[in-house]
Amino acid sequence: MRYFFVIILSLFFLYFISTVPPFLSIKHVIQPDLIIILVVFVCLNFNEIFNYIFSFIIGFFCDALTGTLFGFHSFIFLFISYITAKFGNFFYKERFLNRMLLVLISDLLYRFILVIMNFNESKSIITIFIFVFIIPVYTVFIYTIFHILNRLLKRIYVQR
Amino acid sequence: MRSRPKILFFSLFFLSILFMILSSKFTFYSFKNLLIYPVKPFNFFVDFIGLTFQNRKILKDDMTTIFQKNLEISRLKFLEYENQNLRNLLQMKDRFKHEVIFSEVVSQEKFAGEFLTIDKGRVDGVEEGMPVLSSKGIVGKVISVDRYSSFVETFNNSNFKVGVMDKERKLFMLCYFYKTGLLKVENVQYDSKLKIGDSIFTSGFGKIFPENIPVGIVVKIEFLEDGDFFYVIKPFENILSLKEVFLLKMDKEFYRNRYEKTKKQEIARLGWFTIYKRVFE
Repeated sequence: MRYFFVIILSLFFLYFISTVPPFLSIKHVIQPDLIIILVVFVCLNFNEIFNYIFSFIIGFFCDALTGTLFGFHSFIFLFISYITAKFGNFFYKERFLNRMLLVLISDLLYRFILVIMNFNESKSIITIFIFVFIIPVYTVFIYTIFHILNRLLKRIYVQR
Repeated sequence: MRSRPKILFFSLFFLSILFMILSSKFTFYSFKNLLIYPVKPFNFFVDFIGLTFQNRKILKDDMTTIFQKNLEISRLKFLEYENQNLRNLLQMKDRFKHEVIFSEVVSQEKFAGEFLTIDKGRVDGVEEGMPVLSSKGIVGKVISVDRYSSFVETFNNSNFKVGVMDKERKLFMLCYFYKTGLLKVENVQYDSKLKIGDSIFTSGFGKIFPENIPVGIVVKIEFLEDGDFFYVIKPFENILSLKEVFLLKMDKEFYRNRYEKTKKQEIARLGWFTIYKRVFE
C-alpha cells in the first residue's frame, strides 16, 4: 500500500511539473530536473527492488510526456537507481553532502546522455553549457532548498 | 536472494533498451496517449487559473498586436528580398559594357511561363530582339514592343534557342527548349566531356545574348537508341517566381534589320487555330 501511494503521488507530481512549465524555472530557460530529485529521493528511502520498478514505470510516463524515445527515461532512471544503490553501499548516504553529490552526478549523467542523443541538432556551445552544467547545479540548489524546508518543517512539527 | 535485485535490474534494463530499439520502428502512439490522458485535467485547471488571473481582454489585444506584428515582419521580409534582388541587378549592371534598362515583370501570359510582359516599352528605348536577363542568368528575348510595355519570349517557349559554351570555352553548342523549366543541348561532339553539375554559359554567337552569361547546369545526360546523346540543362532562373529583369541595348541596327525581315510561316492549321513559326530571311 505504501509503495502504491508513492507511485500515485509521484505521478501526480510528474503531471503537475509537466503542466506548469515555468515551475521554479529561471526565465523559462533554466528549469530544474525535479524528476531526478524525485528518483534519487525514492532510491535513497526505499528498497532496491521497488526502486528499479519505480524508475522503470516513472521513466515510461516521462517518455510519454516529453516525447523522447520510448524507454529512454526508464533506461536512465534505472541506471541512476543502480548508481544510487551502489553509492549507498560505499558512502554514508544519510549525510546531506553525499546526497547532494548524488543528485549532481545523476543530473549531469542524464543531461550528458540527452546531449549525446540529440547531438545532430545544431546548438551553440553556450546552450550546451547551460544544458549540461548550469541546469544540474541549479537542480542541486533547488534540492538544497527542499532539504532546508524539510528540516524547518520537521523542527516546527517537533516543537508543537 | 541477494541476486534478485540484480536480475530485476538487468531484466528491466534490457527491456527499456528493447523498447528504445522498437520505438524507432513503432510509435506506441495509443499507449503514449493513454499515459498522457491524466494530464488533461491538470491542463484544464492550469489554463482556467491562468485565464482567471489574466484579463481576457488584454489577452485578445495581445493576440491582435501579435497578428499585426507578424504582418509587419512578413512585409519587411519581402522588402529585404526585393532589396537584395535589386542589389544583385545593380552588380550585374557593372559587368556589361552595354546600356542597361531595368524593368519589372508585370504579368505572365501562360501558366508555364512561356511569355512575360514587362513594364518598359518603346518610350524607354526597348527594341525587338533585346536580350532579357536576370541576376541569376538568361530569361529570354523581347519579341514585341508596345509604347509602354514589352512582350518577352522566355526559355520556356518552344522557339527558344541560344548559343552556349562550356566553362573552358572548348565546346560551342546550341541550346533549345526541352520541357517546361528545362533546356537541352543537342548535336554535341561525341568526345564532349560535360558532367552532371557543370555550368553552361552563353557563347555570344547569334549576337542576341552577350558572351559569358550563365544559362544553367547539366542535370542529366540522356542517351538515345542510336547511341546519340544530349544534355538536359536546368536554367538558373525560375521564370514563375521572377520579379525584376533587365534588358541590354547591344546593337540597335542588328535588331532592326533582323526583326524587320521576320515573317510568319504557317506550320499547321487545327480548325480555327493556326500555328506559326517565325522565319528570318
